[in-house]
Amino acid sequence: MTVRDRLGEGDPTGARPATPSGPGTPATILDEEPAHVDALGLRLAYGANKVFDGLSCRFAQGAISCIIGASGSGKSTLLKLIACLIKPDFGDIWVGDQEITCMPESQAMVFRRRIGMLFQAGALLDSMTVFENVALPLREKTRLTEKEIEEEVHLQFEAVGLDKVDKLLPGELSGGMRKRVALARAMITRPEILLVDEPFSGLDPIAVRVVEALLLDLRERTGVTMILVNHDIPSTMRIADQIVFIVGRRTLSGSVEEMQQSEDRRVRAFIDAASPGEIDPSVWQGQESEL
Amino acid sequence: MNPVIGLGAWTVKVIGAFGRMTSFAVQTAVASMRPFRGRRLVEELYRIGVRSLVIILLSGFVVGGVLGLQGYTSLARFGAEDLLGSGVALILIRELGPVVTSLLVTGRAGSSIAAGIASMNATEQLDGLRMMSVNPLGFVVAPNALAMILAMPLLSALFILSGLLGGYTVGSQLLGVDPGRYLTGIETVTTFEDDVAGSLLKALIFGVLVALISTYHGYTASRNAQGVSDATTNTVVIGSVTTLVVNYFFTALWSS
Repeated sequence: MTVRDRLGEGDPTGARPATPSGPGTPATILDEEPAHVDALGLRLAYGANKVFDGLSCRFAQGAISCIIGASGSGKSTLLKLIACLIKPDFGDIWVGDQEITCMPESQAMVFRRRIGMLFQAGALLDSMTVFENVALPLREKTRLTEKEIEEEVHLQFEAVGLDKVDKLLPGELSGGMRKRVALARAMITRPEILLVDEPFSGLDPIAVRVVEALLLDLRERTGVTMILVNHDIPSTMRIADQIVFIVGRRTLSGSVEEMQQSEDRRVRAFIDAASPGEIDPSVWQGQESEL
Repeated sequence: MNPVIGLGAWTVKVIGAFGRMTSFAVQTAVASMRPFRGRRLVEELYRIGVRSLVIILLSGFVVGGVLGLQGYTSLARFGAEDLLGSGVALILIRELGPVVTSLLVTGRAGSSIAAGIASMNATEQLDGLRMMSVNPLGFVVAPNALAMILAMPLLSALFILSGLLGGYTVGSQLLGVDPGRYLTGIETVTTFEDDVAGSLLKALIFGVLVALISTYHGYTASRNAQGVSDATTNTVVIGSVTTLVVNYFFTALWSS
């Protein structure tokens, strides 16, 4: 099997581990690019419900990494942990050379300037126009003049293919347009990491391809590290450089080719489920019990 | 469960809730100053204050009218109809003005604040602000709370004025009390220190309490439709009961 299988107990010393390499280690994107985000031995529980129990994974710099996994496996929670919106009960998350799990909220506010996030439903402020939504980060966190802000916002609109939407309210937009406005807002401060939660949910196939093209173009132009949670397997296969498959307390990660060639029955079941034909439900039952 | 253990658990729960609410209030107060968002405050003042005007003026007029009607019936038995203005003024200024305004604003604006913040929480808009390094306490909670605190005394004053007008309309125009005596009665019996200042202070305290209760319940609501519903209900119930209880203690202290 060429897919890297990590048990993810983490380093008890708290030191950031080096990217594994050497004879016998299969070549994956993580060997070619340094890891930008490292999650080590994450544990998180809500009451008796364990979301993560020692989960570890790494995301390559400048790559598009897609997190896939069963519903309820904690994909969106992992994004929020990386964004420092919630804190794990145990474990470390390194972003570059910075460990983020122990930060107080005041430091987390500063740290989040390095990160943009596209939420599943956009999270646009309902009471503000589209222009005001996208201009908000610049108005709040920069000393740009209104004219400069206007230019910057319209540049972002152009980049995501929007025109004449300034005065519209988020409620007046279609699902695809909301995602594009949210993408423009997430990228306007030029973050080094873009977290994207279910970018294709609720979109028609054409809108999916449009958003895919936008994400690829964005990565091409800016070199931003993208971490996507995505249920759409065909689109994952089209855009991902790296796939991280959450299965229980472990993650399986590798390139698209490695995942496609994987003989792991859970990976196969997930990939095959997106194709026409029968699937073996016992695989899912096994996975759920492990979760 | 053992009643003593139950009482202990309840006490710990209540003290914990007070602690969290106090911490929330302090964090909001700090966030409201860095930076101060004047434009957002004006927007919320419009939403909470101006858009509550109709209900406040209408209710004040009707309550004043009822006071005029009932007061006249009682005073007429003793041939003291001329004291109608004094009676209506004292009841409105000292008690009904701030209390009924607080109850009305809790139902209209407090519930709206709680539902608005809770739904922003449920739809990840507050997380969206955090991701832009914008503190939701300063951007969303503080302008709402400040607007409520500023609007409550002003609305209470307008309620009282409208109530006095309602009492005047019923007493003088419908029941035949001399208009001059009605107005003189208001002027003679009302003092600024004892009545007007106390009334405004009471309304200000209610404003602080309703602002805190509504924003806290909205901000800490569960991230689903039930959470929005619970936040709204809790705001109205707790805000109304708190208004009535605090009113009793304030009146007792102010009178003594």
